[in-house]
Amino acid sequence: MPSTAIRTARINGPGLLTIVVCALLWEVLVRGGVIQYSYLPAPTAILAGLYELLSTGQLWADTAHTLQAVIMGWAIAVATGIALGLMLGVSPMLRRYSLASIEVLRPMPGIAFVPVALLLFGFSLKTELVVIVLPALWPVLINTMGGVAGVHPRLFEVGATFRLSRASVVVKIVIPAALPSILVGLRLSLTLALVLAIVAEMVGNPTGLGYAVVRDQQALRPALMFADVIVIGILGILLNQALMQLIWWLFPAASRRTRGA
Amino acid sequence: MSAPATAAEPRFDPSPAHDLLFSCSGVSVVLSHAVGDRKILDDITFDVHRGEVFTIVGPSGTGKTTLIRVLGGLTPAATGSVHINGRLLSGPPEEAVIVFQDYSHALLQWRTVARNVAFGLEGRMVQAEIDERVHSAVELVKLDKNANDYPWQLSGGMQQRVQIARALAVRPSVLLMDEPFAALDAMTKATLQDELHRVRDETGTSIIFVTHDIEEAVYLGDRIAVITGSPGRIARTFEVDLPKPRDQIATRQLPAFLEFRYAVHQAIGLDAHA
Repeated sequence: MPSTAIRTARINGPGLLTIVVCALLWEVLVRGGVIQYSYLPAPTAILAGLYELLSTGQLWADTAHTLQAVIMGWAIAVATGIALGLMLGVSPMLRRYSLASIEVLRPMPGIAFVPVALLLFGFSLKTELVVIVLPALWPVLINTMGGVAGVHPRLFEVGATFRLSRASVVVKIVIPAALPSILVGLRLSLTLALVLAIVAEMVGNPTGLGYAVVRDQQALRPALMFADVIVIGILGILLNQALMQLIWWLFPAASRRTRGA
Repeated sequence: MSAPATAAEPRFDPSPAHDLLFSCSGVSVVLSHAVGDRKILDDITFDVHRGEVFTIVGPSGTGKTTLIRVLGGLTPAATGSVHINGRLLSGPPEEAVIVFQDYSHALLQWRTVARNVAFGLEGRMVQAEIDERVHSAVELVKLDKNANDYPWQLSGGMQQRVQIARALAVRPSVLLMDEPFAALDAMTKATLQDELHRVRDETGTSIIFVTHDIEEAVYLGDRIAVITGSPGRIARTFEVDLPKPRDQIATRQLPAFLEFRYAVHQAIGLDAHA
């Protein structure tokens, strides 16, 4: 059972049926004139819009840009978050000095940094990265710190009785023991990174899928706009699945311990 | 781990007796609690020789676990000194490995049995030697069929064997065992007691074994130290001259076994607490 390589390949029939029924209902209501908004297209119109986006090639360029921003921002957040989380996790003194600052910074809505980032970096990928990294950092940092601080004290004594160096204790005990918790942080952070990239593109850097939504809205092309939104949704699902799969391949034992988290 | 802060005695020159492994003299331990300092152990003096099974028995709260931690270099002694192979102990010695009671916390749950056993060897020898040592340690505790299982897939007794194998793999001179079988059922316990004797016979490893089970202390021990009171002191020591190899049924029925059991009971003074 745990050797199944791709666990998500099974198709969820009843779940799919619900979606199809909802789409049909939507189609019927719009076509029958029950719902009347000037800019609410029917699902078939959205599909046609999706086809149009795919055929012009614009969609690929937009997706590639957003994907790049998400991956880069997430990677920076992950590297920084794990490093800081480990330091804070192993050192109660460091925690005493910095937890207050973290609790002040953490609830700040990252999007409030857009004007600041725009002033500093203009319409650029850097602006986007600033908006992504600051909020996406916290889930990684907090989960890493919590995971490390939660390592059972006995394990440190095991490290001591086998005369491990401090560095070996971190590499062989602390990180693996905290890994399930760190992985939860990585997943939360990735989801957040996509949301932030889209927002940053909507209000800051005018490129990518976030800007595509705004662009098609301003062009009064609601079918294209909805198609953009659907693409963003699919991107989110794919990113999460890709990460889950990666974790499954890299850390089979740890992903068994985090399943459902 | 820092050296004992107040090793007040002049540096003790141990006797060159070849088989002397551990030598504890006048050890006391004071632990700080929120409410203040508390003396856990007082004036503990004993020697342990090579290949010997030295059992330490006493009621709970007498500092038995603390004593194991002192011998393993995890807790410094407040006064007195511990020598291992003639060296003053300061921090975990390479000759000794502690086997903890709570195997579920002491094992690395993310590693297989084989990789748990390899834990103390990594980075200290070539991979081929690690593999060879892991193989023989795992075989010694009869877990060869489970080498690729994770600890959580094993029973409690098997998990405790993994911990014993992990300790044996580094080829220590002495195993420091802190009530290792206390959480196991009676049958598993009996099996592991016999395996421990077999391991000692095959490897010559000394064993310092803490327990609150009097019969276990008598059955396993070549010598027994009875530790009582708070702070804990050694009330008596016994030389156990029961025949070897010991046998779960025959040994336990010997009049001499029953006499030892009675004598240890008396030394602990159980009726006084009843």
